[in-house]
Amino acid sequence: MDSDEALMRRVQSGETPAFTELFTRYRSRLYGFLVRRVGDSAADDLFQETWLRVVRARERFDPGRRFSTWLFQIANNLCRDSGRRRAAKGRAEDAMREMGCSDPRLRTPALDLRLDVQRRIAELPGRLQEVLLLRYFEQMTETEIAEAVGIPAGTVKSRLHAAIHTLRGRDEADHGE
Amino acid sequence: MASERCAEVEVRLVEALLARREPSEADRAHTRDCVACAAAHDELEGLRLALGALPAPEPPRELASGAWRRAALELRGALPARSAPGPLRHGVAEGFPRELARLLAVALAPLPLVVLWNAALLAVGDRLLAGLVPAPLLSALAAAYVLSAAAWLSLLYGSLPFVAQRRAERRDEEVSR
Repeated sequence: MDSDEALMRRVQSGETPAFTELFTRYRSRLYGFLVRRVGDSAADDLFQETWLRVVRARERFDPGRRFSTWLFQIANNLCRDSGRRRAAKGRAEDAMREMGCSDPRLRTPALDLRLDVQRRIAELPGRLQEVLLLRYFEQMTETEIAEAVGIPAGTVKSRLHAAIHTLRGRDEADHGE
Repeated sequence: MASERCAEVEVRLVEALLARREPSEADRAHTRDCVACAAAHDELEGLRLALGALPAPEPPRELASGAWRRAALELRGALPARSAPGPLRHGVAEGFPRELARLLAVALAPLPLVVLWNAALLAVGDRLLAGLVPAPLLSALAAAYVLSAAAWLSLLYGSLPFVAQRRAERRDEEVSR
């Protein structure tokens, strides 16, 4: 099986099947990242835009880099630029709809805990949210996150700990950067 | 010294959570003996379960196929690749035929009236100037008028494909944003 980077080299030559393979590999991960980052409705637009940017900027891709880092860098930049971060409350409602539990009678303690975590992730400041999503859900290394987000690796580490600190219900200011 | 050790253990517990792996045996042994670290471990374990139970959103089928189609069209029609992301500039934009048809319809509908109006103007001018201007000069004036009108119409209709392309590109940008 071709590596992502090998496929991207073929995309640079204009090969549609290689793009289709990359799209298939990453569509779910990318969409999940965007939904968690900006909410359902904005995620749809940014999902399309990210893939268009991948194609349009393919010549700039350096095959020495990981494709996934580049892809999520584009997606994260679009999230930052879109200015369409939805209110956390709205995204928590999206989460409830997604889990099919808008009816309070269907709620269980485990479900409430998940909703609470989802709400807390949605409420995280953008700088903490982006590193947490890339680390936990995308399993990117701190170095890759640093490259994708454009901050030093040390800052990634401190932001990750601050994010977990906040998810645990502690004040972010207690942790610092 | 105990609190320093506990702080280090807690950092490693958080890192294990983020990496989705079990804490080391040494750290687990410590959490069994240390009340404070046991509490932190339990708290992080609850967070790990909640994070692990979050649903992974999938892109709706229509969204995924639409995003793939747009990007694949761009890949096929936009060679060579652009070095920087931007609006569609190479090849024919997706909605170009529709836009061109619409503009042609709008521009051609009044054409018979324009022709009739100009013919009437020429006839009136010919009648008014017939006694005042020599016939060869009158013919030359009429020919100059017809040529300039034809030039303006050519410019107008010749610009339609460019306008249609621009409008289609703008629509593409709005859709993918």
